[in-house]
Amino acid sequence: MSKSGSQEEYDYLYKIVLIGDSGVGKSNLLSRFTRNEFSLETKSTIGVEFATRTIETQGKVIKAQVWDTAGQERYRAITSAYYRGAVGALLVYDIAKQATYKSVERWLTELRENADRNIEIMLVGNKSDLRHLREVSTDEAKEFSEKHKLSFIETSALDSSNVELAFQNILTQIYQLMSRPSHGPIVTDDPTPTGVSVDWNNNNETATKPSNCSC
Amino acid sequence: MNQHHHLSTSDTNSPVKETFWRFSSRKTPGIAKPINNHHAPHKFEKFNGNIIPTKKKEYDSSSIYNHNQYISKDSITITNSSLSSSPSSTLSTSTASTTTTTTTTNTTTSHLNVTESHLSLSASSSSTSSISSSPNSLNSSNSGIDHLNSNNNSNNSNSDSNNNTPNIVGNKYNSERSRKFAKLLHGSNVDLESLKKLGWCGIPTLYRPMVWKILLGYLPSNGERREEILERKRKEYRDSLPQYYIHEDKRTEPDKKTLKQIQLDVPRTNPNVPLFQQSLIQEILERILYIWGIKHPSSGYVQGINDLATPFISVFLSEYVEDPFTCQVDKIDPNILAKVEADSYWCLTKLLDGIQDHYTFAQPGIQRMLAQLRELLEKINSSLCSHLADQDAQFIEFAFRWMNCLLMREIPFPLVLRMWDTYLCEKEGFGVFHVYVCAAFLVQWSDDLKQRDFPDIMIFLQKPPTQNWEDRDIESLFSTAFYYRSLYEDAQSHLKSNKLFK
Repeated sequence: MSKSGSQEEYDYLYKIVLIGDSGVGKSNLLSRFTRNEFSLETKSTIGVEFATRTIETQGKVIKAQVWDTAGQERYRAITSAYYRGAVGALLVYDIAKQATYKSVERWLTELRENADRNIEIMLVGNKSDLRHLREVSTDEAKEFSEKHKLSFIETSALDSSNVELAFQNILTQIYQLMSRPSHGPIVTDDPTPTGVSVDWNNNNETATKPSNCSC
Repeated sequence: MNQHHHLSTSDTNSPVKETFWRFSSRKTPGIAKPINNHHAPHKFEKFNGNIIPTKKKEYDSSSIYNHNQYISKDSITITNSSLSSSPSSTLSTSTASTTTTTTTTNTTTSHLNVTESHLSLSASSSSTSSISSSPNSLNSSNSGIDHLNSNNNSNNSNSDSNNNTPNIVGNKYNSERSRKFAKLLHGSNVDLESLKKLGWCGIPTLYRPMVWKILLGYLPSNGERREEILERKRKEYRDSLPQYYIHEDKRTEPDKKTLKQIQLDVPRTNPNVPLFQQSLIQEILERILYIWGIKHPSSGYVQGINDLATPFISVFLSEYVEDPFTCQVDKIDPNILAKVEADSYWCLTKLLDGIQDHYTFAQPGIQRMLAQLRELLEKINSSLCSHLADQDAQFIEFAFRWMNCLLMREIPFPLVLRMWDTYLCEKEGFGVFHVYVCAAFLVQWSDDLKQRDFPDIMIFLQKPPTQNWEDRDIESLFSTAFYYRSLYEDAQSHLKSNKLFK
């Protein structure tokens, strides 16, 4: 069942999840994108928080439902329930904390096991304003994302850089993916059963995708 | 490090942000109108008609709407429970007629008890401070429906029958309550049942630290041994501290991870309460959480537990400083801080012992409570329940945090202390009554929620308009919750098993 917004008109509705380790800035990416707000005092996210924003891309109006999730490992068992119907994921790490980057692979596994296999994934190195504290080089992350066929961007929710672009890009990619003949317009149904092994090499916009969309 | 200016800094995603500092200027409530508050008897008319099973309806309404019958001071001896908080006007009426008491008879059979629980709500006319001791509940018998035999314990209150003039009756009433606490606590052996009955409707600030410690079983009810036990427990905590100061190289990987997580969470705990922005308090909180975490490997530290530790720190500090929320911690004697820290640690431990499966793998305790909440809502307000279902708004999506942090993220901090007074007086602790409270919390926005579609439901519920809530809003919430429990407890009891519900 699709969850629709009432008042505004839009062509497409996409659900996107924000995942990544605790403290990498997921909540602030969400508030920056949906309300243009940033706070140093954001409380830790418990469960899930939700916000929407409508953007325009390629002449289409797209409403993004963004789900911000808790980062602590204990919550993964719960968090995976929130992946249901997500067509995009921003996998966030903190460029100033190597450990959060190291976790990226585990998060990929997490998505592989719980999300729709066609989910569009973007790797996001947040806190790019902390140049002097950088622990993860741009090149390294770029290389990693190429290897895993993810899109990649560095952002700063604090100074706003690239936040808009990150969401704009992933939404556009999803739109392009969805508007291919093999896909219906919106995927918001339950994901394929867990445990299906996914060939991640297929999971980018240039590769052909199996048409297993569940719409 | 002085961080008092944090007050003025901008947004967090907390619904209670910057709120309680402005309690006196109650602003226009948000989109949703808080129901009732002042005029209790009308409250139940608003619940869309479907909370009271038709069979019981007539009986119920009579007991609900007839205040005076129950508000007599002596009504504390009534065997079944009534949560009544009375505005002073009502109070004066009732004090004038002290004879009406025990008229609520025990003649009802136990099956009918359910219908006898009655509620009268009130505005706290005398409460000006947001952390005032919520004194407005005259009748303090609690959890009544199966307390048929409890009258023996509740005689303490019968002594002062007097004839107050109406205009001072509120204050009189407050001091009377305080006197009751004093009397109970200063005996050589505290009667726990009486204490719970009295405390259910709120504990005066002055007595809160001691009462909480007794209710949690940290202090014995026997007064003679208290000092000795405190001394021993504080030492025991002190002796465990070296584990915290251990050199990083000697820590296990999981311990390092735990500490890292705690260090991430401590600075963003209660960011709107200046107390918790002070570095000494943050260090205390960090140690408490870390020691607890490594001593409880089955759950370990889980985000949200940091929230649960804060009421203890603030309440136990109030034993020594006047206004713990804004006090300068670095001016406080370190020995006092050490006591507060140890006491907070042990009380947090006691609290978490009761709800440990909230934080173990997959958090079965929370899943169970969510399932209970859904079942309850179906009975209380099926139309809201089906609206949520139609909109595909899942309980795990909007109510997970309510369970995980016991509504601490939704309710202004000073009122959380008031909520805990009641939870601590519940015989089943924090895990059971809370579900009814959450149901009441949800249902009070029923009309509003039914107009909303999925995204708006979510956005509304993750930041409900509670910013300007006062004591009376909590009283009213609890009254409703109490009422729900009296109606539905039996039906829910099968859910108490440890099964997982999805």
